[in-house]
Amino acid sequence: MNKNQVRYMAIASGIILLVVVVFGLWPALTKSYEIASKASDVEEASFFQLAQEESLKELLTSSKELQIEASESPFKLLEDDERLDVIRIFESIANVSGNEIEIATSECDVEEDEKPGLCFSLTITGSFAGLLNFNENLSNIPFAHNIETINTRYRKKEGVYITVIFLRVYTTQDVG
Amino acid sequence: MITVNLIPESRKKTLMIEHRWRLAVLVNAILATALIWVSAGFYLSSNSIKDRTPLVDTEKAALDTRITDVKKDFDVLENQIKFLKTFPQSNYTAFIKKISEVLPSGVRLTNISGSLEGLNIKGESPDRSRVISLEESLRKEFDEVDAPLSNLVKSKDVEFVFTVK
Repeated sequence: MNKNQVRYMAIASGIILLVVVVFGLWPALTKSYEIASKASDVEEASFFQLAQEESLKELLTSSKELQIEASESPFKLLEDDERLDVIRIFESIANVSGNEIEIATSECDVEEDEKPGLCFSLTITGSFAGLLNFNENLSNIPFAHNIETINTRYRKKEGVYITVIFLRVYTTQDVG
Repeated sequence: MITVNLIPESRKKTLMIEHRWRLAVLVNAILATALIWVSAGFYLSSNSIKDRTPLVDTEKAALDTRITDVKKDFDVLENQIKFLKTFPQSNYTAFIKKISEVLPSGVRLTNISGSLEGLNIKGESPDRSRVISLEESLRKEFDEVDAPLSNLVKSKDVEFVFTVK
């Protein structure tokens, strides 16, 4: 290589170096800086996510405990698809306790802070012992309920007790 | 040993300059290559972080939704359990059972009505003494027993009324 060729090569390589710095290194550094700041956000988000995952785990554990507690409760709230079941239970306990039963649905009076529920009017006809038995069984039905009023009268002529029970059964829709 | 450089001074300078140009070519080439590699490295690492960012955002959004759903279910369940703990609410059944247990023989209940104010019972007794006995038993069983004087007016075939709470 002669002297001039070396000089041209030196100048050319200098220009290439400049081009690399201007169009390669500088944008790469700028981009890298931006990404680095973004990365710190991502890292922060990841930490937050980890904390959230931890709290989700705790929430799921507590939720399971609550589900166990709910399953151990003697009462449960009536689901939509159990409406017929509750009517069948009334009929069944009337049958078991030797009473005749008439079931009617009725309008629920709802006062402030009160849950509406499903209201039933049960007319029970039978002996006094049968009435006691019916009441006992009624208090043990698995659904959360409240006997709002009870009215019993003795009909001398037939020798039977006629009881009208106004009952409210609470549903899952009442408690949310 | 003594080394003697016999190259003339002007030639020495020319050689030195040539040597510097050659060195410049070498340094430039090495630097350019190194910087190309460094730049490529920066680009690649930047892109990998950039690719992760939307993934983290998606995961975060999914986790947020899941937490919201679980929290909602948890609150509903908690409210339900709190509500279920208030049961049983009325104690008519227990009241009627208690009354039936202390009912003297021959005494019959003819009417029972219960509301939030208490349980009202009406009945018939063949004589006054059994009404008094029933009243005494009721007072032992219940906190509050309301017995009107009219219960004691007749000595036989007595119709009585009690309100218990």
